[in-house]
Amino acid sequence: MSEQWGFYFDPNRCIGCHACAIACKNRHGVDEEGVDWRRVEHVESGTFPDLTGTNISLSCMHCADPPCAKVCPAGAIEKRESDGIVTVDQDACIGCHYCGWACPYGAPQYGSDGLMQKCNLCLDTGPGSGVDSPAKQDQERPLKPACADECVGEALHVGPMDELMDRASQKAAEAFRDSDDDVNIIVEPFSGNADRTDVAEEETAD
Amino acid sequence: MSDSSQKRRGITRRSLLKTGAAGAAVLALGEAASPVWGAGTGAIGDASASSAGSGAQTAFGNCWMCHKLCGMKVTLNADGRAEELHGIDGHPRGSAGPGTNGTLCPKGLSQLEKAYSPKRIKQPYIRKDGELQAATWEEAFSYAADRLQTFESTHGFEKFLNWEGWGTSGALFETLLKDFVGIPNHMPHPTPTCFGSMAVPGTLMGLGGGNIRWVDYPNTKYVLVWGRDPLETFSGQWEAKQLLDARDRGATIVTIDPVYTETAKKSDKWLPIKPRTDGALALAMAHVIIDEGLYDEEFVENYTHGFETYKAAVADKTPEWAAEKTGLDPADIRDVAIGFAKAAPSAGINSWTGLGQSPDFFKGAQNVVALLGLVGAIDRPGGQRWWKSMPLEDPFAVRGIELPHKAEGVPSTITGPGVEYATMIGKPVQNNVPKMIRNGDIRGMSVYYRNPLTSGATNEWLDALDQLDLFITIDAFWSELTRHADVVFPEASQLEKPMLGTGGHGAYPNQGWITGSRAAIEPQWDTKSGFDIVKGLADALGYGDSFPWEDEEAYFNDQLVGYGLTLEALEERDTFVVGDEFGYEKWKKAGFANGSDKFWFDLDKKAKLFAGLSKKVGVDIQSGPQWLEPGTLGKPVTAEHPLEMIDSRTVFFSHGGDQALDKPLEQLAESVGLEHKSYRGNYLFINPADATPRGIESGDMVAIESPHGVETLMAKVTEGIVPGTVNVEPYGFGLGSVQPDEEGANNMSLNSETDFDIVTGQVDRHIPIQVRKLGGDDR
Ligand code: SF4
Ligand code: SF4
Ligand code: SF4
Repeated sequence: MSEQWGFYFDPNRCIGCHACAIACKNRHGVDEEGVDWRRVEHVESGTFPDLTGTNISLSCMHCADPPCAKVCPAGAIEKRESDGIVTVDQDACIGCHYCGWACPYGAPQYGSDGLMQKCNLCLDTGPGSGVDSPAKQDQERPLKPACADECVGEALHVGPMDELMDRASQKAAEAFRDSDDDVNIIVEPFSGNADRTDVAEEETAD
Repeated sequence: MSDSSQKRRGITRRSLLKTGAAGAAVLALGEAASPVWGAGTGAIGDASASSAGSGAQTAFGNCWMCHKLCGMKVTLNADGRAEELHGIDGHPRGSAGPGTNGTLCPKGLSQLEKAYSPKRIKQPYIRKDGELQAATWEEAFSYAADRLQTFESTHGFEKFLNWEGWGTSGALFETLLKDFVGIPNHMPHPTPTCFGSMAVPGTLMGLGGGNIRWVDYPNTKYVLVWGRDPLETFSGQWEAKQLLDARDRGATIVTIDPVYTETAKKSDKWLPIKPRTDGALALAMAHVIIDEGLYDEEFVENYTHGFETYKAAVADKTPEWAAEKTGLDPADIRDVAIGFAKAAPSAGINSWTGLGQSPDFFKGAQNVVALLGLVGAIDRPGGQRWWKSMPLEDPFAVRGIELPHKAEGVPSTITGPGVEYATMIGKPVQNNVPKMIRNGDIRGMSVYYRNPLTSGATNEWLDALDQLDLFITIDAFWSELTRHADVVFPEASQLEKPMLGTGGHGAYPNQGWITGSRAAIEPQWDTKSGFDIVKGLADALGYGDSFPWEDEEAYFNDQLVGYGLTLEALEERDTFVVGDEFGYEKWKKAGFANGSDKFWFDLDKKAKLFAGLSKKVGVDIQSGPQWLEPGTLGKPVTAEHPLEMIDSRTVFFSHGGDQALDKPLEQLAESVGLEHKSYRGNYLFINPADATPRGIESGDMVAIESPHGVETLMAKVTEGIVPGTVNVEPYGFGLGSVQPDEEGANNMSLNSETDFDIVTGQVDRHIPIQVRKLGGDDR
């Protein structure tokens, strides 16, 4: 693979504003309710008054070995060799929703047409677009991913993973390298209040 | 939302938060050049290589969703339809400063939905035979003009009240009504509606009412975020960005709030204070600071008045004493007092409505503001910032037009010393308007992009609206307010009109700025910009000659003549210019906001006010800093109504203007994890300690009940709120709101018209209530 594109996310700078989610909808004309290519989770743990609150902004992870593609009976989902972006060919999609069940991150979304749509890393605009686009790094004027472009807190960045590693703290970089998961997102450790509990072990209260 | 996705979300959190994510196996090797990004962010006329951008053009705008003017680029498709909105790098309101990325917040991005929303009021309406009926603009203008003229001859304009709203042409509308038509009554926004209980003491003391919000972030070492949530309800995105930068730089952030706010989550310390006890904390902090000799002796000696009174007032106000009042740990109080004082003058307070919306804060806020004088942190690097704006020309003067000042000499029914309906200090009281209408002292009203129904005494208002002889509104979405009007002028949204603004607070800590842009798209349906509405009405009233500008762009360009600028020239500079640097310590030359050369700890120069207030409430209210138990001036909680209801905004909505938009409504529901319900109202945040005994779980519908009213909304059970306190988040929903189904609670239905601050006129938004779970329907 010549390049792998993905995300960098710093929860210390994410203010949970959802601008990323709406910017994505604007870019791709996704107006239907409940169809979220990107969504923001608010995780709260601890008991009053010793709390930790973290936000995390999530989309398709453009996995190294995408479970969604493996289960697709129509071969509609492709892990692109050129830029590592996972795309869906809506002409091939039969709307069976297997991908939705297979993806651990809830990335595949379905509009009223029943067809799968999800983050295409802004290869092009609109559901199912980008299938035939040249590699992200080879495009003459690639679209700047709207979510990162409008991130109010400068928490979210998009790019080739090796470039994103340059902004990562040592801890985040190590965690990324050592992880068994194959998702393409680097996450900074959260340093909330003085009395923080380990968010990793806690589930949200909602 | 299906079960599977619930499960998926669980896995998502765990795997990501636990591991920090991701495998090295797929890491790409090799050099990647920094890409040149395509349409959507590019310069004017960018044509993208992708299909998306072909024929794309860029226009500009200045966001007006929360009225803070964040600059934006608007991507238009070949048909001129707006397709994307983006922030502008280095913009004074939409970035962290020079060379930083400009963005738009979720409200700003939702302007795209607003511009094309089919829920908008699409054409003018006038009341004929008792019914609101669609009309042409010409009909509507001449109808409104006729009705105003009839009103004048029947009642006189001292019985007409205009509400200063947040319309883009609000000031011009007021000029027409006040100076040309002769209407003397104009209900302002800051004191009766927004944060009067802090604004007034803040101004009297000399800080300036509004300045309690502003910290010189780029230079600060210590920020007390006190009853405000700048990471969620920022006044322009610059504020959230600079606060995050200050945190990254190592500044200490302490949040003092009954709610575990977004800012609290990012703070070094959260002090979960019982509401309305902030005054006790402030006194104890002063006690520690004076005790430890950490105050600014030089500033106190030379630039303040009343220190001895202050010192005496805090002598026995130990952290232990305050701990009992506030529910905080005395060690925390001591730490924060010392940290703040040691960092001063590079220390500031970021406060606002959280300490401004209860009569009890008239005193509490004084105690808080006093701290800034004590440590000498006013308008010094890293401290409380005093801004300066770049002045604009008066466009009437530029054209040589003299205003007739018709309202001069017409007695005001709402404002001024001795006016029956005004406060002790002559401030207008919005909660008194229903009574004025009942008494026949107000018979006509105009409201431009503001909603009295969601900002106090809702039930009294609904009765009063029926009794008006003439009611004119300008708005974008329907509500019970506009449905009661005789004339409804539909206003175009920001993308459809030119903009011009000057500031002031923003990303340039030492410079003022001007920002402006031309309309990006045509007015949608049969709407008009606020300017064109005012001009059309002026024409119909016979004042057309005094409004000679052919369009709003010409009107704005006149205001820019002093700088040799036009809106077009501003667009060439990405919508903004910045001015010369201004310095610190402006009080040295210009004095303080109380008009004196001293900051006043003690307001003894207003002794009469305090004597009068003491007599009225039967409690000794002193002129200096003082502790008053919650409920002394406001309403105490009782056994029957044991929970203190407060309210707040969220990042998805400004005040009451845009609760009709689907995307922010859905994102709000997602933010509390309740999007799988069909409910799209606001939420009651309640601690399990209060929820569990009432059998309430997240997602249950609950009734909130004061002695005055009942409303229903959905509960969100959270550890992130002080037990005994419930928060309506966000306000601006339910009865009378623009939420199309009036879903959610209008918590101001629980406010009675008699519940307001008798000094400042501020509506009391700290309401003792009971909460009950509602049975049955699971929405
Ligand atoms: S990269 Fe583009 S498609 Fe993916 S979440 Fe961001 S905006 Fe949406
Ligand atoms: S836009 Fe940025 S700060 Fe806002 S929620 Fe998304 S990632 Fe967080
Ligand atoms: S802060 Fe958000 S809503 Fe307010 S003006 Fe800026 S972009 Fe618009």
